[in-house]
Amino acid sequence: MKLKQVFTNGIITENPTFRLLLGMCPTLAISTAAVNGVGMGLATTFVLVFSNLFISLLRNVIPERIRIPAFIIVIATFVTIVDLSIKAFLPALSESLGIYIPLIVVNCIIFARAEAFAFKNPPLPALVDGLGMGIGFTLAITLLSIIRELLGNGTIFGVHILYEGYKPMMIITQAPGGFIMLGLLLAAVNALSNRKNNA
Amino acid sequence: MRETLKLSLRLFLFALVAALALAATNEITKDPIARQAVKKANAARDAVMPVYDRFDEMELVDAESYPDIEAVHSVVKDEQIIGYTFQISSTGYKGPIVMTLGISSEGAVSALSINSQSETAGLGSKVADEEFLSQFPGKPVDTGALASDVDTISGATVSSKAVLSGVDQAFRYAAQVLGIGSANSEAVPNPSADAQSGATSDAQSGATSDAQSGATSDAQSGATSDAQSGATAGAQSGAASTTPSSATSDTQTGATTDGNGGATAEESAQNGGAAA
Repeated sequence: MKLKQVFTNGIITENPTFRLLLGMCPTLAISTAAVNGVGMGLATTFVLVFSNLFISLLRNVIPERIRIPAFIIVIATFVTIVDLSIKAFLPALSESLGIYIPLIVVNCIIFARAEAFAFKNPPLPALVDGLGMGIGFTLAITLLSIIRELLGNGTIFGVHILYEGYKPMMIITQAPGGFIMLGLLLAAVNALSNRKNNA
Repeated sequence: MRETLKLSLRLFLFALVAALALAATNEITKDPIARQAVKKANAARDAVMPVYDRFDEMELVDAESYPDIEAVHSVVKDEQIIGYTFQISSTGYKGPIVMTLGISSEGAVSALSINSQSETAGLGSKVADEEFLSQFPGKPVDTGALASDVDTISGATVSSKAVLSGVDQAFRYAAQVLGIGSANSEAVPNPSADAQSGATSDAQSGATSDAQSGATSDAQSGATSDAQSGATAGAQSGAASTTPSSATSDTQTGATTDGNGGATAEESAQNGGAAA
């Protein structure tokens, strides 16, 4: 598989949020503000890249029978490193993302890519796959966040876009709104890709 | 058996390497993290009491009666104590709300600021907005005034009450331990801290607790609060007027904490609260 293909796979063909439907929990919970979406996406990308890289490097050393605990050790270590680093050097981001940073450990995207790709491929493709998946996830969650922030708060990245008297749709920033918006986005993505396939 | 041993050993090795990597990271980050916490706490104190030479940490007196108060600092300027700051952590709707309250020695609130909260975005999070917080500067350190003069946020009764309950506890500490202000009315209950019982909050009322339990709707709350006045014999200001408002708000907040505080339930609760 060519590297470029591996990369774009994570962004378009097998976008983790819109195609694989993985990592739904942080997607729904974090996407209330655009800046949170970007922060979460980048943190997840970091973990994805490094866990994919290390698992791929160790793929001949990790016995198949204990691969799951081994994956968890690698992933949890990198997530903790991210968590401590963000707490130390980016406290504002740590405040807004709160508990969802440590919860990256159970983000299915990371585990799925470790199992489906990193464990069976050389380091460089694994790294590129991690990067592609991470960027795909970041784009998806940021898109959702922008929509939800716009409708639920009238702002994008904190900048007021909608007219002054706009009464925000409260439900959009809460859990039900998250599900609804995600569903609508998925429908739109499916419609677009069907049209592309039939064209 | 040998196979299991080999696998276990291998796994142990991975865990060991991971632990070492994490220990190294911890070493690097623990100082910046500690510094951030101190900076945040100081920044919060600075935000509520901008005029000072230094903050002196005071030892907490009778900490069990004031469970939400985490720290009290005296504000010193020109070697005189001009006020106090309280670091308070109340149980909010979704997690702890950490706030800093500043009061002057004359018994007026200088400001309230929210250090951290994880309430519902757009609803409970509004407790950190200027609109809500601007109600506090200038208010007298009087728990009666707190219950009647501060408006809760529409649709965010639980979060608002959590903040008020924390401030109420600080007022009580000020009145009973520091001798500033008055605390002659019934405690503001925190609906979150008391999700089980719904109505009266015993954990929050500190000194008033036992005497109060059945007495929420009792108009004689003025009488019970005598039991704990070491407080300045200030006017029994809100005693009469607060009872009705606390009574109504109890039933309201009881209603909101059931289920999940859906928008409509909170709306009606707020209407009851605002009318009070």
